Amino acid sequence: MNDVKTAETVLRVRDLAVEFSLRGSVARAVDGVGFEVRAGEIVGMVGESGSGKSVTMLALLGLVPRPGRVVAGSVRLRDIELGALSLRELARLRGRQMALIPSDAGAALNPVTRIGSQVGEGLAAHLPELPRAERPARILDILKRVGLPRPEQQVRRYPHELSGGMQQRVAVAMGVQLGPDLLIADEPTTALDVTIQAQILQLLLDVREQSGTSILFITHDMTTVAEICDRVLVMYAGQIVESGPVVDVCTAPAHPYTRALLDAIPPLGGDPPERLTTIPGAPPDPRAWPAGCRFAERCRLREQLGNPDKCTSLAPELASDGAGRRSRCHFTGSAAEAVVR
Amino acid sequence: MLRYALGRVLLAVPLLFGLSVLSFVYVRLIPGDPVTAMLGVNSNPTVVAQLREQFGLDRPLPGQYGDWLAGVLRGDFGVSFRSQMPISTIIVDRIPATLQLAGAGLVVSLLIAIPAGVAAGMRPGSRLDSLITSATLFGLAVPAFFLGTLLMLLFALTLHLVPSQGYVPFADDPAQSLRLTLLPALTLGLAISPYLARLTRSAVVEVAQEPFVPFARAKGLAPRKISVGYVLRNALPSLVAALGLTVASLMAGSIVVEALFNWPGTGRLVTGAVTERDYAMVEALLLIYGGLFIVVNLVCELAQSLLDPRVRLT
Amino acid sequence: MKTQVAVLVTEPRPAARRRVPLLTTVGASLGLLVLLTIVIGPWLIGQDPYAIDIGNRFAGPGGAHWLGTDELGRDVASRIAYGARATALIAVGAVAIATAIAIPLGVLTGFLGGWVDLVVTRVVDLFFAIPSLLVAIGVIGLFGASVTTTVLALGLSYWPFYTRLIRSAVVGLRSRPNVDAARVLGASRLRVIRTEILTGLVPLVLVQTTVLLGFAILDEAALGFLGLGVQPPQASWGSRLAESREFILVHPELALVAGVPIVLAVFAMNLLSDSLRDRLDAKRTG
Ligand SMILES: Nc1ncnc2c1ncn2[C@@H]1O[C@H](COP(=O)(O)OP(=O)(O)OP(=O)(O)O)[C@@H](O)[C@H]1O
Ligand code: SF4
Ligand SMILES: [Mg+2]
Repeated sequence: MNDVKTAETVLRVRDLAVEFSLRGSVARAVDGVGFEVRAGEIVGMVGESGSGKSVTMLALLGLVPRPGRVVAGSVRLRDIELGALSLRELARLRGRQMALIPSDAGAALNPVTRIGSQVGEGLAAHLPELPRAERPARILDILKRVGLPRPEQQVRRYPHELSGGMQQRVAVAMGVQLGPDLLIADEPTTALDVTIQAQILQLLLDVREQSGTSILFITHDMTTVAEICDRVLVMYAGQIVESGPVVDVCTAPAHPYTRALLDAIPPLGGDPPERLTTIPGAPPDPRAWPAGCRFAERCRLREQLGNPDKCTSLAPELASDGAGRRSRCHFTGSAAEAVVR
Repeated sequence: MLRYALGRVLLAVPLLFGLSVLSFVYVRLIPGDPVTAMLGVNSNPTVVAQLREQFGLDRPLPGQYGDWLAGVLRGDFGVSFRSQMPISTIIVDRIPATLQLAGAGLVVSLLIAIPAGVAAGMRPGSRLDSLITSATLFGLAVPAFFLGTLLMLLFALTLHLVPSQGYVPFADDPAQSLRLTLLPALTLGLAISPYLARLTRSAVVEVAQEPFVPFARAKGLAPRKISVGYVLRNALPSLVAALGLTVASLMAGSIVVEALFNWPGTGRLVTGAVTERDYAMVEALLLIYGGLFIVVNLVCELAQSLLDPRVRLT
Repeated sequence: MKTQVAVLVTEPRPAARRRVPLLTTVGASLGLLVLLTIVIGPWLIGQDPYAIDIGNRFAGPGGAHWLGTDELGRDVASRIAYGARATALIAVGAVAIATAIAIPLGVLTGFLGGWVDLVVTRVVDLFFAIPSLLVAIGVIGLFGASVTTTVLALGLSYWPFYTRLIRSAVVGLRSRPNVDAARVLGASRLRVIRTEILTGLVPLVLVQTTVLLGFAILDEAALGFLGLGVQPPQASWGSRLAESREFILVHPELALVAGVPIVLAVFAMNLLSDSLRDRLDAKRTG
């Protein structure tokens, strides 16, 4: 965990853009997203609903649903440029080098197929050389590894006969069984209750510990990010607005949006605040992004700075501070900090 | 599951009972009475009385119904007013021909409709989908006799590839029997496939929106595996139920196709019995067709629940 | 709020609307063509559909006989045009009968529920259990084949399925908030039925009317073909088929010519009902 900074890069995303064309209008749901994930790293991706997190991860997998389309960018997994692959090659890579853990395993598992055969499908698709006779042992093995109780019995069951937590464990098993370089977990715990959530998070940490798998962890919960992630990407309106090591970002957010997100977390243990700060206003329409800063309309810093023109006239760049942190705000830095405090 | 099945069966019983009452009352609705209808108005009164007694028409209705039902349950539908032969014998004679036609027609329509419906339903709104959807809208407008005439004109009268009409029992001459089945089965199958394709499409559209489909893609499964093992397999229960309803079109279609191709099945019997006012025969046929429809749908519903493991708990 | 389930697929795809105005245009033009045939066809053709000319049987198209002559030397075009009138009347009559049964029964059962619903629904189920062509054939068996019987038979064979549709639509409408609101505001049942339920049914009835008109044209033809519908020599699309069927091996073109208007008319109805359904669905979902 300490050496991630020097570890090799597993995933490199550059200038990714995804557009949905609907009845004449075009929504650029993901607009110039770029980031890296290093070996053994857990990277969190947070943002409000509709900020483009899921579409980004679907683009990584090459699974953006119609009428969506990846219009620009490059995705490199280790040394493979995914954009250059044929559909078949991409399919061969999915589930093997890059696997998805769905948010609601109960809905993502095939309801008519028994757990065992369902886990086996991945083996059959990606390891055709593995003799059929050896599959059951492999299946039991992986189910044991994800801590599924009594796997010998579960393999014969249907998904609906398992609890939500067990379903999620099965989904994790399907994700990790072929030792992928990258796991993409899209809100893998939202469908579960709190104790089970903690167990699944622990399971993901264990997977990383044991196999050194990198994880891209999508959530809209800052607390979870703080708990398990090494680095965080904050998404707003189809763009990354801030990124950096979790500890740094959480203690000293550079972007007003990140600050607002953190302010919205009810303090642990302490008294609940008089009013829970949710971020007032709504994100802009992806069919017509504003010309300047996309957060301008809701930005408190801008208000405190006396509504400078720059915010609405010029789109801020995602500027790097040279020490692994980036922020997309004209007024990032200590001057702004001073005003807010 | 057992309780579910039992419940379904119990639900079908009153339907079958109602159907039997309906068929029974049906004949009694005839203006005049069957014997006069059979012999004509100027018939000898003693003969009429004799026949009335023979058919039990002089007894109170509930009693008549009881006897009739008891007979029906033993497979005795009485005697045809026209030919004086036992109705069950006549019908049983015709059943192989109709089953052969309906079975072959069903196979043809499944072969056309399932792939078309899946292709359209997997990508709703795509060009292929609008093409298939328009084709089914047109297909629904083409009556079976029109289609059959076209096929007959083309393959039998012009190209002379197959005989135009006729029937040979399969047991007598399998090859010729199949050759003769070709056109009628193709006609019937093509006539039904638009319905079936639409049903398939909507079942597939529904399933294709389920999260397990994109997840299957994310697992890197082959497209074939996804459309068959995931989409079609999950659409199967509702498809099977829909298939039960299609049997009505199959029955109606086969009546027309049998007339067109001179196919000696039960459909010819239906038309014949109505034109000849052979009421007992009409009654028996209504009962058999209706009963078959109810039973087939019952079986389809049971199959539907067998195909969906989630039903077992409830 | 998005549901958890939707996360994987992001948003549920905006229900893919088939925007094919071309098909609507085709449907409307075909429908217009059929309407013109019915209204001015006989006058335009100017031939007597019943004038027999044995010396001129099976004449090909051309001259005074646009579509040739039939087995009795009658003008095929005018038989089709006059037949269109009969068929259209039968179709409209049949749909009217089915509607007249289905709406009151469907509204009654769907709105009242309770034992009325239970009993009527059982009866509907029973009729639903008999394939509709057989119901029609049964009716014809009772009264003998004729124009009136055909109307009655078709009307009676459509009501069970139509009643089911109306009933479930009414059940849906009844549970809408505006109906509750109307009841709370003290509107009587009858008033609620009139203002909320019946108006709510209009789109469904519109669509079903076109659908059933298509069915009725097809079924009139099928019955005619079987010799159970309109009886020759009376002109109708169905009876034309019955006449041509006897010569199907020698003159199949007569059967084809008799079938083409049926295909076109039903295709028009299918296209119109489909685009109507699309439009009304789109309106409902915003
Ligand atoms: N199928 C689709 N059709 C049209 N637009 C879509 C579709 N899916 C996503 N979008 C667009 O992409 C934007 C981003 O959606 P996305 O699902 O990535 O958000 P998210 O950050 O994952 O939100 P959530 O936290 O609710 O999961 C949406 O606001 C929408 O405009
Ligand atoms: S650029 Fe202006 S509006 Fe945008 S985040 Fe910074 S201060 Fe706020
Ligand atoms: Mg999402």
